Amino acid sequence: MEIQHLTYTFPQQTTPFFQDLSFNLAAQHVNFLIGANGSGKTTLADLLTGLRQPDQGPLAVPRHALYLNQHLPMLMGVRISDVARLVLGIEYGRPQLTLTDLQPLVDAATFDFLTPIWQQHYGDLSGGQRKLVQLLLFLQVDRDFVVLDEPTAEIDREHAQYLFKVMQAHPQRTYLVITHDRRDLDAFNDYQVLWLADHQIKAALTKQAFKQQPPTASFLQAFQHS
Amino acid sequence: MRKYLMQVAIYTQYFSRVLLDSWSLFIYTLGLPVFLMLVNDRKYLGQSLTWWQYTNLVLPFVAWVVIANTLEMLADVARMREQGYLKQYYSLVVSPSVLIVSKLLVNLMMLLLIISGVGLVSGWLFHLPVGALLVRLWLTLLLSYLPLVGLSLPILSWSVRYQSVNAIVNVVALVIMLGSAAVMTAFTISFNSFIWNLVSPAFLITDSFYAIGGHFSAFAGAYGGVLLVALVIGMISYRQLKILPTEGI
Repeated sequence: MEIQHLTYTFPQQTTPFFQDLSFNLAAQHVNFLIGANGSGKTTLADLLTGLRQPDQGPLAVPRHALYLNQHLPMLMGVRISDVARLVLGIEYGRPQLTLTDLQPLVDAATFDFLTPIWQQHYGDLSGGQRKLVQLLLFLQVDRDFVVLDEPTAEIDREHAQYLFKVMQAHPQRTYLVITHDRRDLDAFNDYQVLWLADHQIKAALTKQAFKQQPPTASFLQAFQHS
Repeated sequence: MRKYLMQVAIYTQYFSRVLLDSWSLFIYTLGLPVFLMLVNDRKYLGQSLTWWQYTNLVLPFVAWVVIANTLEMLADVARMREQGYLKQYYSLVVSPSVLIVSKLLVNLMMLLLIISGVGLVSGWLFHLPVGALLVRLWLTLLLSYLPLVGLSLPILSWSVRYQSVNAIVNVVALVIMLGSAAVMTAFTISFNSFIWNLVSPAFLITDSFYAIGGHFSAFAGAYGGVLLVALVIGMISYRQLKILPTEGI
């Protein structure tokens, strides 16, 4: 997926924030987008998902996108089955969802994770589990392009593995993962790293090229967990 | 369309559950307007009021409840946007209107309950036929709700930061109510004035209640005009709907 000559100016600004930004998004792969806070990662994700309109540079990316930036507020008293209904019931038009209904709609890892907690109250889960429940459910929604904005923040490594397993269960999708945690990259056999700095994609590295970078490489400062 | 309606049904059910989650807050929400009405009209408690007196004394208060609650419900959507939740919902639902419609339906149900409470208590206290009063209040709400929503939707098309949402909604509600009171004092307003019913939803609500009592044919033209303009404003505002938070990059 080629993004060419992308230019974007914030409303009521005269100077473009992104000017002539060009890079390749590896289709049906995991793309990690890294960069310092304020570098414009979320703005770029908004542009790629069609939430913002570029000044120029039509984007050849699927507009049927899913954007996951944080977990939505939920009543603590609802059960996990209700949370599933609010995500998958919405997607599949099902007013009710039982575990039997759920099985054909989700991948095995998600089903394994949700089954033991299906009748538990949302408020009884830890903060990390709550976020993971929502992430896994949202990832069952059928979309070609999925943007995850810091998905592993607030999630321990054990639970993060569930997330990665679910992402790998849908290899036909193109993922764009915004992260500050270098450990996220280790879960994948193949990926591309895009480094955003000074309003440009300064580097686009394959896994091999990324691994060969010296520890002093400047873009590694974008990671809070090295 | 079926999927849209199903999504609206699921979110309406969930938002209703959010509303009912705290019983004490729910009872407070229902009881406060009744209490405030009693305080507001304490001089007339136990007296027999005519429909005309009731329209002048109680309906401005009903209008304030309806306007304030509707603005607050839309402000809640604006706050969701400013917290970044709206853009996540946006990628899930068939249209962002699903969330707005669901919120507005919950608000309508809440308002039906509130004005039923106000109607029951005020009908009993002011010696008016409670059944007829309730029907008039419900019809007033149903008639005025859609124009009110259309006229209020611009709130969602403005870039307003999280901290400012409450202030703006409160100022808008106050300007409508105090402005309407000032206009009432300064001018003689005809109940079928298109302009005044358009400018102030408080007049629209009060005049709808009056018109339902046997003057609707004289009011229909003004109401139709207000409805049309409100729908156009609502549609234009919806097309300009802001999905992304105002602050941050």
